[in-house]
Amino acid sequence: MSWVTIIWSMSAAVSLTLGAIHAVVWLQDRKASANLWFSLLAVSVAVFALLALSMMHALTTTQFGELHRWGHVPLFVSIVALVLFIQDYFRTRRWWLLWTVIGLRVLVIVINFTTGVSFNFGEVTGLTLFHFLGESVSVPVVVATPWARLGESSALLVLVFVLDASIQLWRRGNANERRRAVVVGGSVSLFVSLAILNGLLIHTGFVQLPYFVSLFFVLIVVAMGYELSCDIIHAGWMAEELRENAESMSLAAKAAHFAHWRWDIGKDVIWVSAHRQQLYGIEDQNTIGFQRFLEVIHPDDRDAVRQGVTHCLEGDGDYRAEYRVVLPDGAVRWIGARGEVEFDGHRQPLRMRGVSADITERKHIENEVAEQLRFEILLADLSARFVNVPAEQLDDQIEEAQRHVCECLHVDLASLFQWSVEDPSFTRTHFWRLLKGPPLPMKIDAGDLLPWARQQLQAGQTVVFSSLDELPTEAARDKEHFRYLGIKSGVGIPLSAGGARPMGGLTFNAIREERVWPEAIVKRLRLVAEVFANALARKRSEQALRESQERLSLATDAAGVGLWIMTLSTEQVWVTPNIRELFQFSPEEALTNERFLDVIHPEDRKHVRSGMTDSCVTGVPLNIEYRLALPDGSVRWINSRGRPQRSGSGEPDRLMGVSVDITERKTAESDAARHLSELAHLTRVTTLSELSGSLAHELNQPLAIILSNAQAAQRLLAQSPPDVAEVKEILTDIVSEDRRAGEVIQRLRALLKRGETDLQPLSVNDAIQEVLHLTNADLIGRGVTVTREMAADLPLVKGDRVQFQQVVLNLILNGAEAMVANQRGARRLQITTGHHDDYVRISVRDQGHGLPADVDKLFEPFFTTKPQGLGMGLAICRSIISAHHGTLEATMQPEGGAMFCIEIPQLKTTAT
Amino acid sequence: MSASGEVIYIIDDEAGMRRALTRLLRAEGYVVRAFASAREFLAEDHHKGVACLLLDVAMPDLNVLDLQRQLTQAGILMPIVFLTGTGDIPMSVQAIKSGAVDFLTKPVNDADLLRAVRAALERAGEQRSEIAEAALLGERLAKLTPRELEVMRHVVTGKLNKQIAAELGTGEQNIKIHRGRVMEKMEVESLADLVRAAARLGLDRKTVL
Repeated sequence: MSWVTIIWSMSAAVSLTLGAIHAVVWLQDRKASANLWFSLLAVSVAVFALLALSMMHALTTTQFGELHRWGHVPLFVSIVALVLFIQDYFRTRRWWLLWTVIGLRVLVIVINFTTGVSFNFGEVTGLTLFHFLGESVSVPVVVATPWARLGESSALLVLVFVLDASIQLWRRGNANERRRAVVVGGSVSLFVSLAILNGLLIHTGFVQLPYFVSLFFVLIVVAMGYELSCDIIHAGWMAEELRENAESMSLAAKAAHFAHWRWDIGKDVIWVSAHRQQLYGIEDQNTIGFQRFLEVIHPDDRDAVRQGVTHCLEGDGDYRAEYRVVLPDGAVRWIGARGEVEFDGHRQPLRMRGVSADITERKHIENEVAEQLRFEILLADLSARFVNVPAEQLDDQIEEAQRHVCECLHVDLASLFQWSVEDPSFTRTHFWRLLKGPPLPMKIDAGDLLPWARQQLQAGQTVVFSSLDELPTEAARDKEHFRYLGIKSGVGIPLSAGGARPMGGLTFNAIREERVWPEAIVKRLRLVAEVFANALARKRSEQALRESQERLSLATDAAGVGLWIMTLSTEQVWVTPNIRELFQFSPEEALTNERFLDVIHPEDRKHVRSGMTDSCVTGVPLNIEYRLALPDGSVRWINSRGRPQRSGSGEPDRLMGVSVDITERKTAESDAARHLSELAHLTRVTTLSELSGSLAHELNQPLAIILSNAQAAQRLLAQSPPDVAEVKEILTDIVSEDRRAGEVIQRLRALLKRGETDLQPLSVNDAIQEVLHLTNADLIGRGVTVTREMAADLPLVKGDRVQFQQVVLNLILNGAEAMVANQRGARRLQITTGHHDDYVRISVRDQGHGLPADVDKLFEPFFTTKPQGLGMGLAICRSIISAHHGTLEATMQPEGGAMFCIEIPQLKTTAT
Repeated sequence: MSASGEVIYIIDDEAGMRRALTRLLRAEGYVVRAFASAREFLAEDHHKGVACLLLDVAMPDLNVLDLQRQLTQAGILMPIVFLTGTGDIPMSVQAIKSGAVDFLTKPVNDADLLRAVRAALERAGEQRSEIAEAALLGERLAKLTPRELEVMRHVVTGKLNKQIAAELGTGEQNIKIHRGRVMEKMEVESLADLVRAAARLGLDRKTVL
């Protein structure tokens, strides 16, 4: 045997062996297609190697040509298997390149069998013997075909495909894949290149060599076989690891109370790992069916589980469920399961695998947390709701809240008892119970039936007992009563608002079974009790307030006074019913400040608004009078008095006060004012008529001057030449005298004017001066001299000029009158003005006969010392000054004579 | 000063009135002097010639009687025209009583005023001559002896010498001589003149009373 035979045969044998091994691998795992392609490649390479060996030993050209032609078949298979292997193993996606390679190769095969001797040779003209490795091998002498280039192109394309696939794998792969790209891709590329070179050399006749192509393919097979073997070895390791994992998992599962399971759906066989007893209470049989599985599940959860499974079988195969199972001993356990469905090629579920764990503990905690959370939410909701619950809804709300608490805590009975000093027995005012039963006693003589509980609650102590046995010995009587009521355990919390003495108790009782009352729950129930207590206290105080408001309404009604309270922030107003009646509001109408302003007379609105604002800002009590223009067209006068109330922060938050209908008073006042002004006018006219003589003089004087001047002027103008300068002076005098006459007339007219009292800022000094102007002539006629001491810095007063002047006029004339009997020269009238405190003071002193002993008689109507006097003068004067909020007094002077003194409040803030 | 030498005095406390009256009277050619009060007026040196006074009676501190007395004491004799703003009757009566020439109410028409002024000045003129005459008679009377004066008193009553002698207890002849001296000293021509002089001197009334 020569080396050639040995090498080529051995190569074929190696290839065949590798192919066989991987064929077996593929047979075991049909998904391992790479192994199939490899196996195919290896077998065809073996065939190819054997054919190449035969070619070397061919004796005739025909024989060689035939062998060469058939050699293309294993070559074709090798190349196709190679590219498919690469495609499969490297997972390249360059399909078009793959199919081009295969297509070219098919073309090559077709040409190979249809033209010439073979694809490469048109004709084999002869065989030369070539000495190679100590043996003579046949090397053909050939006529090349034009197709030969096609073969080389196809080989190059294979090279390109392999390189491309390797580069792709290198780029995206991990270390292992990169190695694979280098080893497989590199060796394939190298050996394919060598094969191409070998073919080229032979076919071009450049050198004489035997075909090494098959050997190069064998090398490729070896390289690929090595790589695949590595994979198999890896798989072995992984299997080992898996087994170890599985074991540790089993251990862990045991420790963590979980089981894994598999459900063969076709056969309806469920296999569950260890702990099935523990988890599902299933006896240690090997397998069970789905129906049996459902039986162990809590009846309430069965449907959900069934639906969950159906859903996952029809859906994406992901299974998650939490359900309860009922163990044979009746215990309930929570199971959490997770699994995955395995589908066949037609989306038919084959089997389902998964794990189940005991999550009872977690569920309990979750439930507890959820319950606590629910309770917390309930509490928050309760406290929020009870802040603003209207008194009339409170009872319903409390019972509603009791229901919520009971449902949340699974309590059977909740009661709210109240007691008072007058009635120490417990009165059940609110309750809720889960189950219907005989009527509950609404009144419990707690002193007799529940002495211990009563004592505890009244002392502010919480009573908690999980079972009747927990009650202390001194609660024997209580225990008896609880038993009588069917109460098995309970909590009693004293109801006390804001630290006050308990006014009742809130109790929660279990009737169906005993239960524990964890401190956390009791603490929260105390909060509930506090909420209830505050709401009840508020209701009580609201009731008390309402009662006091009703009493107040009664009182204000009786007094004809209406009460109102305005909240400044909202401008909402609460009023007593009589105010609604007075302002003609409907009984149920919600009232705001705006609504009030609506009915106020438009002319008075500004005044009212500013009055209220002032009061709120300065804190000065409100006292305003205004008119209502009522919808029925009537007008009523209202007097409102009030004062702002300050909140804790010192800011005024409410305005509270009373309103009275003062229409009658106002009418009387305005009647009186009218009467006064009429009377004043009458007496003024009378007084002025006394002055008529001197007033005539006062008017006459300027007229006389004017006349004489005018006549003088006439004469001067008649002269020649006329004295124009003099005439000019005359005219100046005439104008000024005319003005003087006009002023007199104006003053007179003012005093004779009939009119409403008109209070305006008034300068007392000016008013007096004007009166003195008018009386000047009269006083001269009477020989009376007037001395004045007028204060220069006299403040203004608020007064009616005419009426004030009337008073001064009266006093001056009276004074002059009183001195009529005096010697001339002893008729002095002194008028003094001044101010002190907030008053302006005007005094008129005479040197007359003085005053009667009973000075006040002077001011009585119809008192007169004058024969033809009306006797109204001083009476009217006093009324006028009173209307100015002032006083008019008369006193005797030590040196004789009378002094009349007026005091009028000065105008605020403004000074002359 | 007018040729006649007449002066019109005005007392009025109102300057406007003073000016107006002054203008009017000056335009008529009178000499006018105006004062704001009686005191100012009295303090002045007065014109000895014919003069009258326009007096506003509605003045403070004015006492018409006082004023007249003071005028008399000062030897000033002038007719007064009263001016008043208010023409009430009691006042006008009093004014006339106190010797007013006229009583005018303001406003006063120029014609009325001038008429009154003229009358007053006339009166002043008359008074002036009467006073002069009386002064002359007085001087003459002063020359008489008491006996002559006694005889004259009787003579002017129209008694006969015989009656006088009987009353005085003396002879008719003595009476005749006294009578002749009286006629001589009194510078009268007739009994009638003597009687007139006696009347002017006021001797007649005393006799009557």
